[in-house]
Amino acid sequence: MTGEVPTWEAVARSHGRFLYNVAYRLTGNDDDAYDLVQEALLRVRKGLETYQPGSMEAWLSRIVTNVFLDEVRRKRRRPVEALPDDPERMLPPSPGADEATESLPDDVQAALRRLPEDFRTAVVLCDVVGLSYEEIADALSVPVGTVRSRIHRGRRLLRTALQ
Amino acid sequence: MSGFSRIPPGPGPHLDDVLSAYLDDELAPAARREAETHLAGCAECRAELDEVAGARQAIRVLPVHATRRPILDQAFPASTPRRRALWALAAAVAAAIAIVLPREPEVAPSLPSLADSHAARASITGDPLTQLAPIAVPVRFGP
Repeated sequence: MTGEVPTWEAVARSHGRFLYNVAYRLTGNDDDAYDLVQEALLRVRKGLETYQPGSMEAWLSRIVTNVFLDEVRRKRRRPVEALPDDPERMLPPSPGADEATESLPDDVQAALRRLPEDFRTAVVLCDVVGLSYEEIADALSVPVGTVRSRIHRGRRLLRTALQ
Repeated sequence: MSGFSRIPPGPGPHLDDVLSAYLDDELAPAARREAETHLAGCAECRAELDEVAGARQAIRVLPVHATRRPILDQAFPASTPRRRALWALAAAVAAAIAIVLPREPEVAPSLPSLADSHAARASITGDPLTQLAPIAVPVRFGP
């Protein structure tokens, strides 16, 4: 049985790049992404014994997302910056950008970073990682309908921000 | 993947978040047909579909973001039993020195250091994690 379970080192080597990319899209900056990957790898190490052979990326995504959300909750308990009450108001359209036809990666990343975490997480798991709604619901412990709603609202906010 | 057996009633007459489920192929065939029928007759939903499709695509084409910091490959060189033993020794010596020497001014903890210290702890216990420990720690013994 243990022969089927990859070592922590093997996971870090084979999926480090994947983990870092997801972490970066979730956190929006390199320093936090770096921290996130390290913490996720420690949890991977602890959790490898319980890993059920299956989608490694889905499993890793769940771990890195949970680390991210734990950190978000921790910061919320000691808020540095108040969150807006209505996320729909967060992203006013950029003035004079209506001639833009294609968004630059930096702009997309900036818009992604400004999404409320719940929306951002759902969007990243769907559009960066490629998980199904069911897998995302499982990872976030929320109903599939909630996943669908968060993804859709997240995309609408992004669209508004990129216009 | 498994989709929705039906379109749940939304807050209004429009498809709303069913549009994203439609784009993501998360609708069951019957619900998909219903959505397509609605789209054919609703310019508002077609416009919203275009918008969310644009946002969806913008994220999906983002390049993989890599780091140049050696968190995964260079920081964790391949190990041998000999390297493992050396690292365990180095960690023990470093711990002893840390007890004796005054601490230097604290700098922001970096992740490599977290990883290293973790590896060092693990290596003392003979854990396989020692494979990941850097070995470039100078150790001198003797008088």
